[in-house]
Amino acid sequence: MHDLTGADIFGVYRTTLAIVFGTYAVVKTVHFVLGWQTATSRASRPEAIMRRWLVVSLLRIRLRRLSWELIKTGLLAAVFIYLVWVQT
Amino acid sequence: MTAEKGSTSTSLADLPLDELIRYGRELGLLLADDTPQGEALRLIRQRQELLVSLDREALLDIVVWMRRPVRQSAGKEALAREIAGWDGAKFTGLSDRGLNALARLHGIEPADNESRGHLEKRLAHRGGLWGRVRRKRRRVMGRVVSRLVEGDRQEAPGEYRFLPEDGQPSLKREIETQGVVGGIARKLRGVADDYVREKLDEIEARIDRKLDEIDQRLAEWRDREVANRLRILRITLIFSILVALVCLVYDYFRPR
Repeated sequence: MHDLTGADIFGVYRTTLAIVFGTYAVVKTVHFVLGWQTATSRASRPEAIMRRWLVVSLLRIRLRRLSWELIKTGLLAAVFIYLVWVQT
Repeated sequence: MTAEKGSTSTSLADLPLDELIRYGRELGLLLADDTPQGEALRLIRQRQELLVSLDREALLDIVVWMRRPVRQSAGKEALAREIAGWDGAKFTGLSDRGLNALARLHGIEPADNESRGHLEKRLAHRGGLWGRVRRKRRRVMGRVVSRLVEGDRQEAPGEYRFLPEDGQPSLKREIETQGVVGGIARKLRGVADDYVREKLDEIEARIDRKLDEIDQRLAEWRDREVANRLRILRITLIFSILVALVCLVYDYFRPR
């Protein structure tokens, strides 16, 4: 899939896709983390209660019930990382 | 005592398996959900015999050391229930008799003339490697969570105080100390107070049940939400893998 100038169109498409979606994912993640960090780091009482509730909720997540989902996600992530590594 | 023990054994044998397992766990036994009824019954009876042979004062020492709220007159079974959930590995401040009783409750029989240090070590190593890892993990988690929730303030624990005992002074004692009218009035007020307290307890229990229901629903919602997020993540990963495979095939067939 080469054009007249000899550039690989699929390669360009792939690189553009990686840059655009990579940037989008990083910006969204940082925004999410900063949002929660700001919301929970205030010293007032409602935020302190919210922080405690969050900590308790996180601790009470029943990982055993979600273990099969986590295993599947982990396996898929490993396959994906392997495929990326093969291509680099 | 024998008749009481006989009736307890009979009622224990009559209990359904799930109740039996719950009762055993309350006494500190590690019972799996699929423990056979006979085995559960045998272990519970063994635990009851152990409780009979243990010194109540030693159990009280453990509960006070753990700083669990109990009445000074609490029976051995009530004390054993308080001790049941304990899974620590530090024994600073616990009396020798308390340490011996704690070891026996965890299935470790202290040898004659065994030093305290050695017994502490055996108790700390119970549950094998995974038990130690679990305790270590809890210690680290406890440190992190307490820092998150309580901040840096560390308050020294005050002197331990037992829960107040049930029961009120007799009418005779009331009249002796308050006079006839004052004594009777105080007794009547006590009865009214008891009634109000009973009603308040009922209301509190109802509110607790409601709160438990809300908590249960919230927990289900949270688990569902996490599962949903994981599903979305999995779908994204599947598509990413498909695209990566297409790229791989393309790279393979690309003219070089």
